[in-house]
Amino acid sequence: MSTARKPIDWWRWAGRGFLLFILTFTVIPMIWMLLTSIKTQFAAMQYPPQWWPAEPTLENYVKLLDPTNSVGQDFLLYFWNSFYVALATTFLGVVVAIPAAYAFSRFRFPGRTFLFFSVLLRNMFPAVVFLMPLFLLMRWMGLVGSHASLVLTYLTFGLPLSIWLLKGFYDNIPIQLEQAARIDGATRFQAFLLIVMPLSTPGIIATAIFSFIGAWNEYVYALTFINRQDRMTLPVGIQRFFAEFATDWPGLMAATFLMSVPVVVLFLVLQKYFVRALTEGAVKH
Amino acid sequence: MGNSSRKDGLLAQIIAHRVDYLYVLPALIVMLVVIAYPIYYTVELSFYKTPANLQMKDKIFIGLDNYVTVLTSRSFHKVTVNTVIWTVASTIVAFLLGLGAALSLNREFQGRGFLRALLLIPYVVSAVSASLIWQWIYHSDFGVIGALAVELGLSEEPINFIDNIHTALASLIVVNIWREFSFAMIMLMAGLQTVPDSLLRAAQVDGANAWNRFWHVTAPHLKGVSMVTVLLLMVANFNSFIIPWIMTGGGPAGASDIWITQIYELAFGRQRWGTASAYSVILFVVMMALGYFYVKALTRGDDRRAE
Repeated sequence: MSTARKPIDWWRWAGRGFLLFILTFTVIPMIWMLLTSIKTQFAAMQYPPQWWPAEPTLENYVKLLDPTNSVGQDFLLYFWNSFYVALATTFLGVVVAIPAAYAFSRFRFPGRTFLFFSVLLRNMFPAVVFLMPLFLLMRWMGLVGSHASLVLTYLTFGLPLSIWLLKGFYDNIPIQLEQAARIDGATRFQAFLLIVMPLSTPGIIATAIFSFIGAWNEYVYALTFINRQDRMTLPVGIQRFFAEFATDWPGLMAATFLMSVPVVVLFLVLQKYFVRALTEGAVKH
Repeated sequence: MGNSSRKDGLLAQIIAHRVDYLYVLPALIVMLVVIAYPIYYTVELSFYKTPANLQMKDKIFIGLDNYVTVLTSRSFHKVTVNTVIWTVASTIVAFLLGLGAALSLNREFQGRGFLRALLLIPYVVSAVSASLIWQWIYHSDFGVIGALAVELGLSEEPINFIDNIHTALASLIVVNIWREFSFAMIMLMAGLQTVPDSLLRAAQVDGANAWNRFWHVTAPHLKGVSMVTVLLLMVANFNSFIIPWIMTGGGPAGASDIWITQIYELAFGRQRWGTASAYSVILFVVMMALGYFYVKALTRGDDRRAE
């Protein structure tokens, strides 16, 4: 005897259809970027377009990564500038954020709520409205055009974000561990340093990645504060390619791809932390 | 009397907790310099007429004139409408796409992790990349969408998406959604994990169909995370600058101009910092209102952990 034939699960099929749609929407622009980046300029500027490059070439990538020609020289310099600024921002932000996040998570000092809300509220304001006063501040400090001005201003978003993320991680570390250490005679600071810090390493890594990606992708401050071409970071520098070689779309797509590689690699390797950092706080576990 | 004893209590508390402040102090100093001071100075500047050479010692106090200028300017109404359309449309569509993707991915199957990662890539890379890629896709002569439309017989000739006052804003919204829907997806996927399997199974045993299971079991569990997600999307959209600035610069003829691009243009295009500051303060006020709900949504149950 056989059971009745299982009815078709329409919802499952609707889900598959939707996935296909959303996947197409997401992936096609990326594929088109890659396909364009392996075309010659002549091939890209055709109508109707070559859907598949007739003569695929890596020439655009070679040009960008070859330090002996001027395009490659510029590109690699922007790359290095971006890396250096993002790394400095991350380091500074995380070091300052760790004790603050810990205090917000564990201590109940007067003003805690107010201070923590001000940290949160910073995330509500766009970079653009901070530009004018920070520009004057940087001019007063003689830092306009320097990488230091970027590192300092990137803290406006890097620091609140780091505090917020790290606090979430500390909240999830059971307080009983510290209490046990205290009973065994550790001071509060020792408990923090020897018990909590090692346990929060994943949180610190996640926060550092977040901070690095944010700084790597930053555009507004870099656009406004950096006036010398050899100090530009990638997002701003790449636009210069566009302005200078107004029609070199394959080159621009190759540069865009290379700019995205570090963040995508970081994201893929540490995806678990990234997702956790993103959803931290919004979902009560 | 009671008042003063409470003050003593506060002081005593502060003294008792004095070491706590050392942990927050470095962060506090940085925040004062790069966040509190700029906010204060923006408010101050908004009451002054600033010289074009930006020598602020020459600024002249003009009271509320900058606010009047902003609120009565010819473009304010249109830019505000654009801002609302941009924010609301991006938020709603990104949220719905994210919800659909989260629900579709909410079962074990091969390649699920890979799909999730792939969908997240646009959110991880810089909005500058998104802008440049889509600028090329929308290209008026060689753009791939325009060419596809011709190929499929939908259009006589390649379509001009971003240099057209009727389509510019909508085209940018599509880019914005492309970039951020996976943020909603990842938040809602995390939310879905809080839905107890036993409840869903029980509902299934009781004969509830898929829609009823979603509406009566899943949806209530997603309420909190949905609120936070929508708020964060709204804030991000309200504040987004890169996509409109790179792709159209607010054009053509202001068709895609929103508050943020307008403020940037006022400050760094026309050097009218007083007016731009007043504009910023108006934006602050709107954001504070949103921020109030954000903090409220986030701090549910925050005081359970305490030493």
